[in-house]
Amino acid sequence: MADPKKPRAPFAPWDRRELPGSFSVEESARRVGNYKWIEMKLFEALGGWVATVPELDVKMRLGTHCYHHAWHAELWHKRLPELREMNPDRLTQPANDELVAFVDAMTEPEAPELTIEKLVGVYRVLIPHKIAAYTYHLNNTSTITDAPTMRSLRFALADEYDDWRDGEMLIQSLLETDDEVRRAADHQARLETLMIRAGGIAGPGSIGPVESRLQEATA
Amino acid sequence: MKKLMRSDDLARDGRFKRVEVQERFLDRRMTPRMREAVEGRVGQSEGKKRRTEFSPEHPDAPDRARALMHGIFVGEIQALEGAGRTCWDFETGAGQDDVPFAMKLDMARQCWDEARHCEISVKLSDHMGTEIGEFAESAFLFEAACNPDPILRLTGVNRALEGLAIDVFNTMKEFGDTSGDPVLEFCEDWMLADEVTHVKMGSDWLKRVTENDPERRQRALEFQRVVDKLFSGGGFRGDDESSPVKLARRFRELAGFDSGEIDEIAELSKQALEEATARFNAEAASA
Amino acid sequence: MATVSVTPQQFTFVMYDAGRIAEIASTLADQLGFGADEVIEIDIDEKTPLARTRIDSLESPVKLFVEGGALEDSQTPRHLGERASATSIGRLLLRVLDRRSGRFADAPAEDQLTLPQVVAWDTTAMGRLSALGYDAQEPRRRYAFRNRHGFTDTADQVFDRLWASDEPTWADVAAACEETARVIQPA
Repeated sequence: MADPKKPRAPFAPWDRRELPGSFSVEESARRVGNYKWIEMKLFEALGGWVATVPELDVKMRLGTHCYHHAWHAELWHKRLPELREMNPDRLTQPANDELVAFVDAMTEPEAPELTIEKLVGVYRVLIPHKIAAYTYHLNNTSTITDAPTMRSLRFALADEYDDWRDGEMLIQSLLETDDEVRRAADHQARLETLMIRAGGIAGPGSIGPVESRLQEATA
Repeated sequence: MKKLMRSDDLARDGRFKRVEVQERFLDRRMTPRMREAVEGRVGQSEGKKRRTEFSPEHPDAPDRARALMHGIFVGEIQALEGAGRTCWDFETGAGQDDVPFAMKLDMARQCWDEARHCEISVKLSDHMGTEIGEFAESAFLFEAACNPDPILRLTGVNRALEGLAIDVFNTMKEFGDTSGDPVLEFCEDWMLADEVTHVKMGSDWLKRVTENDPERRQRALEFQRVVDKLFSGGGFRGDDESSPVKLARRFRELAGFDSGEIDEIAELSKQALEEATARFNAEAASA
Repeated sequence: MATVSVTPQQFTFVMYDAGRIAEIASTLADQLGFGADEVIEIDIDEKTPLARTRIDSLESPVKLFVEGGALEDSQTPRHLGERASATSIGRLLLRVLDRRSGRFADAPAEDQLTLPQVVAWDTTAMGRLSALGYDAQEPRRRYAFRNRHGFTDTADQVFDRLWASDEPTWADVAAACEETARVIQPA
């Protein structure tokens, strides 16, 4: 650099980040509160299930994944005050009652012979929906103003992909008969229906604008 | 899924065989430690090189180490299960029956650590030629983790049982070192580091949650004493040189125990040995 | 078949069956080549959970002393273990036959053997029991061997050789100990 006083563009030519984003501070905080709630429910369920599954490899994996989602809950807990929510518990809420119904159904299997159902609920329904919601948020929020949320989303997504793969492989290794395949599919369908009613982990708009807003936007 | 699970409901595959806690107390056979106590020879090896069943020159040392490692393995499974259940069993909050959010996060972290210890133990079992389920499993660690008061649960598990884990891992680490087993020493040292964290976590939360509730703190410490004594196993763990598992004072200090507390555990261990010896003598006299 | 007697006949500290122990020993004696006129006496100390064993007499009546833990089912405390009984008694019977055979004429007395020598000799016994179809837990024996002979490739190779030998001699055992001692890692 020949002349230190020579002005440089504040954004390097390869830095294409722009200001606009789909979410206000309040909307980001609402979503983050929903994320924290679902991560808490997930890590509590995984922790509780550890003692109920007889398969050693599943038992150990659930223990590891329990921590991943607890850590995500902590990331969201720390983000909330930065989004002007000084009482994080206030926004740590389910998106709606339908999501509560989903979590209740997901955590209902308890008996030792129901490992397939336990894993399907998490790895074929909840985690794919989390990946979808986190990806939507990541791709739609302001890359400049909401950078801290994006950073946490990327960390969380890295775990989500790894855990999704681990869980899916465990499920595949457990399905040995036609009946077991049917059990997995039936349970997935039951829970998927409940998740659709909830609209996703952040409620309607989890992975795209709700219909009314879409109409406004295109009017 | 219900809250507050019983140890009978712990899920296991067909390799594991459960032995009830009472069965251990029905075993009237004399361990070497009890024989020493009966013959008045406890502590006589003080000053000389300690020879216990975990000294490499002891003919049974490799098999005793295998049995102990398997005991550690099933203990780790139960510790994992206990930490996981604490995440599930209690609501998050500040009430008497609730668990603070940060404490739940610590329990989830402990889940991960214990899962890792299970993985390490499985690999060590391969290394030592031990089959999974080769030895009977007692669920008394999980039973200590079943307490409906989360603080008593934490104290019983994280201070008493993880404290015992510090003692046991230190003994196994020394065994690995003196027997020239680099794998065993490496694994025990890494697990030992984690256990110091767990004990410290238990100590810190006990102080914080019971800061304004001295009666609850007393109950928690009393529960810890009960668990400490039960797990001294008739003198299996103690402070004198002839104890198969010796109190690891230095690591316990790192974990937040003060010397008074460590002395108390040593005293409880002595009492456990005396009571077991008295029981043996009474039965021998009536036989 | 050889005649086997077990004491005590009735157990009070453990739930062992003297008759079953005698059957196991008798089957082993037959498989290993003890004559039909042989007498084998097994004295069991049921008051200890330890697993030490001893040969008190090599000639008929062969006298074996066994601490109760050596016959115990590790999955069900205080109950008889079929596998443990077969390998513990089998090991002792092979030791008797080895000493009688002349191939171990130069071996020190039982109480003079070093731990590495004991483990090396036991490895040959376990390998022979395994060849007869008994579950001698090779990985467990390998670990015990490594503890006395070092965690080295040489120790593993020596172990494999001893395990596979069907008519070992004292020279084999002594040579094995020397070979592993030469490369043993310092503690």
